[in-house]
Amino acid sequence: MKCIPDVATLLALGSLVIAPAPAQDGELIEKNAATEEVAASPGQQEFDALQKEADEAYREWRMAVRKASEEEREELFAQDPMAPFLARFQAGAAKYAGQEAAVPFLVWIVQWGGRMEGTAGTDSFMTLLTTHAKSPALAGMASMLPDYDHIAGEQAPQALAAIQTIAKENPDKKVQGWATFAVHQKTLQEGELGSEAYDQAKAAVIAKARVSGDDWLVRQAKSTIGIREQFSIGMVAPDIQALDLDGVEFRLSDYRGRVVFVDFWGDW
Amino acid sequence: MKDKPFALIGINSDELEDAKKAVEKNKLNWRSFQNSGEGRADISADWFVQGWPTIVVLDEEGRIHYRGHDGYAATDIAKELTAKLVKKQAEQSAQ
Repeated sequence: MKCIPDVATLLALGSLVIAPAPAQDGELIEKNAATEEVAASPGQQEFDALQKEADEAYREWRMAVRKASEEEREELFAQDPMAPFLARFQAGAAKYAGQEAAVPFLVWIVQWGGRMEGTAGTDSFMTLLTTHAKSPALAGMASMLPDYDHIAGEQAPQALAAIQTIAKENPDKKVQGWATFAVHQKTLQEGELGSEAYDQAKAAVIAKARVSGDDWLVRQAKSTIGIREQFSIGMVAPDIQALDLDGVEFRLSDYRGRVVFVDFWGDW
Repeated sequence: MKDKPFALIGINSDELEDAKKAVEKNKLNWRSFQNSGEGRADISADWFVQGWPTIVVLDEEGRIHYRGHDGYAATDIAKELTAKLVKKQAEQSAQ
């Protein structure tokens, strides 16, 4: 994908690259003690086998995209290689409804089903937040919690209430960390600097992030706080002193007296 | 926007050689910083950039008027600020 803005269109780009993709979180979770325990259960075995099949289908789709001609590629992009699996993950979630074994199925549906038509992603998200609030396996989708208003849609207020409970009652430190961040995110972004509410939110998020064992959460929290405290509208941006692409040193402050459009870009 | 009190600055996070190639290929005529060089701070980390593109629009005193990912919105704000600045400068030189 090309993300190079040219001067004529000044970044008329629809694409936004976010790294790392939170949806890949599931592949990256460290198995904690609680998930190890259920690893031998029939539910977990069923999930593992199904996930393996889905991963395989995804790999094949990506290989096909890589080899395809431009025309074929468009056709491939119109397909969702994970769509055929949705019903099977839903069946797994239904079979073990209310039990711990349903959690990985539901997490998968939130991660992949959210892009598909229908309410599968939202429904599974709400089930996880309410029925499985104390499951340590929520770690598989913990980084999606700050995005709750988008995922839950009209049910965002209920989702927030559930996440407040999760922040206090879920035994997993990573889940607690992301839930705490999700709860205080708006205060960190919009709260008045120096106010008691802002300071409390900041302290709570930093404390929980620090013990979460999740570097991505620490970065997200620091970034949210840094943007609020150093890059809010009306603040003077910190100076940059660096080299240009020809190795010539220059500073952002050389451009005082002009309006400056600073564009962080790359060629992907 | 030539001759106007406006500057477009890129911060490129590719490897230097890739960045140079991209500038050449796309005929970009604006100046780019290297995001990080030997022994230098990483600008995108200092500026808490989490997604690309990220755009920050500054006025003539370096104050932030926009930060986000929307190129259209950022362009509108930059145009407006530049027009205001041009007007202000014209008024000052008339006095």
